[in-house]
Amino acid sequence: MTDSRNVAAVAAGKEDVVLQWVTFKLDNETYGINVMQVQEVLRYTEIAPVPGAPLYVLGIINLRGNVVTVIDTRSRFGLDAAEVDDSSRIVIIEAEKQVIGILVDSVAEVVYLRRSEIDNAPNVGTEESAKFIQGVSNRDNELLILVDLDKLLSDDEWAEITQL
Amino acid sequence: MSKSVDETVFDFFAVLLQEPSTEVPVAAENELDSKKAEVESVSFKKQHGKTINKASLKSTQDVTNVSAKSPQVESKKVHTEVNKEFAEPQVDKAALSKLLSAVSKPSIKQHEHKVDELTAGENPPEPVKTQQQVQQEIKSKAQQVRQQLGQVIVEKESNEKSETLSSVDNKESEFSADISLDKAETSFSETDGEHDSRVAQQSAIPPSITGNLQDVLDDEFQVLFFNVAGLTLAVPLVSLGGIVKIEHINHLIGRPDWFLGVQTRREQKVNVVDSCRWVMPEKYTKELADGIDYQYLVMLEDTDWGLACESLVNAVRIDKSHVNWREKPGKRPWLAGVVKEQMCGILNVQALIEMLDAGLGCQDSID
Repeated sequence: MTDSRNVAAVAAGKEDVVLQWVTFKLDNETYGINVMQVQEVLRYTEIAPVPGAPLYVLGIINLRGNVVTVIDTRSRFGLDAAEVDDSSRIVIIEAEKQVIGILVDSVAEVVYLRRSEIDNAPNVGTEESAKFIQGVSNRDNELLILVDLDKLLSDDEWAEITQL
Repeated sequence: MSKSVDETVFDFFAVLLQEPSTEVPVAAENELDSKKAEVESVSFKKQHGKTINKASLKSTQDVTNVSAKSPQVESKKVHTEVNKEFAEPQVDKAALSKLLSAVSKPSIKQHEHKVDELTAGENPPEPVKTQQQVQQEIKSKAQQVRQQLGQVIVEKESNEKSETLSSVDNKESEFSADISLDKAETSFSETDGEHDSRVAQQSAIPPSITGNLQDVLDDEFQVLFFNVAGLTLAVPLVSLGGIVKIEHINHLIGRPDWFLGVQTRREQKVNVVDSCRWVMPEKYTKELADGIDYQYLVMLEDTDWGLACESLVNAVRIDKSHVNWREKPGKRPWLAGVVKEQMCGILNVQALIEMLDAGLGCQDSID
């Protein structure tokens, strides 16, 4: 399958671009986000809850004088809640021209992937969270799930968190 | 089982009917009979202008024959004798007819009504007829009624048959939902299997859903049996893409509950189906889930779909006739039928793949 895709890419004359992905863990699965969207990775700090905020919003943090909204990634992905521990991290990202933080179980590494190494995710299910996955890649017999951060929130939700 | 009211009454009258034949000599009997028939016909004609007396009696006789399906031998003997007696009745037929019509009301009335309809268009009979003419007329009417009775009986039988079949269908459609851990329910499917075979014998053109599978398979074919949470399923080897040991399944967000995740295999991704959850979602509980230990993936044809299973039983060669093929896709097109000996469901892999590709659950239909 991968070979055929490579052949197709070469035949199309397209460059097999290498992309860098920051990987993190959530519920024992490895996810990747485009390194270009990651601003920094923070240790867990106190998150101030915001009254009346949507359920997927954990609260806000003060990042060098800037207020950053932190999203509950587990909740957003439909996963069970988990206790915060030493390995928990807040990844500051930029998406849809906004800076937000996402709470993850741990951050692993930065990996290099050719575009040709990225496959489509199985097209099963119509749940909302299915749209977050932009592709999957097989690395060392482990599946890396690539997240499309721009789709982490809908347009309305992006607009909503600016008002917090 | 106790006799029905009809049978009891018929038996009673059968005994009554027997008595004169032992007492009255044949010659005298015939003479008496012809005279009685004449009197009855004339008196009835006077009342109704129709000559259906004997016909009515014949109707009751036929009904008696139909109703007398009791397993009791004695009763059958009696009815056989009654039939002989009815050929040449020696009792007060009008009275008997009246009595019996009360018991077998629906059919008799129906046929009287039909006779009425038949005779309605006719001119009223001439006031005076010879004895032979009257007898001839009675015989012809009786013949007509017998024919009608025969038709009605056939209709009744066919109705009963169709009712049985529809009930069989209902039971059959309920079957696969109940392929479950319970052994008791497995025994239920045994009965079901019998019904299935009857249905299979009845229907001439099987729907394509299982027809296709049957076309693909040889008369003898191999199946692999595997276990999922105590439930045994069979997959034809021609539809088996391979067996993969479960190692690490990656969960994917936003997928249906039955989608366990993805396992990599030789640079390829295998979509793992939680077979228990997919096949019997109604039985799926947390306790059940905790007790399941998936070990292998049964790959479906050359697709990326793999059914998680706990153990592989064996692969055996079976004959097509050893399977009660489902004739209607119904709610579960993925279930091709039931292997009689093992009493387990056999998968229609093509339909299953279609459903999985479409993200459908086990009870959704393919449209």
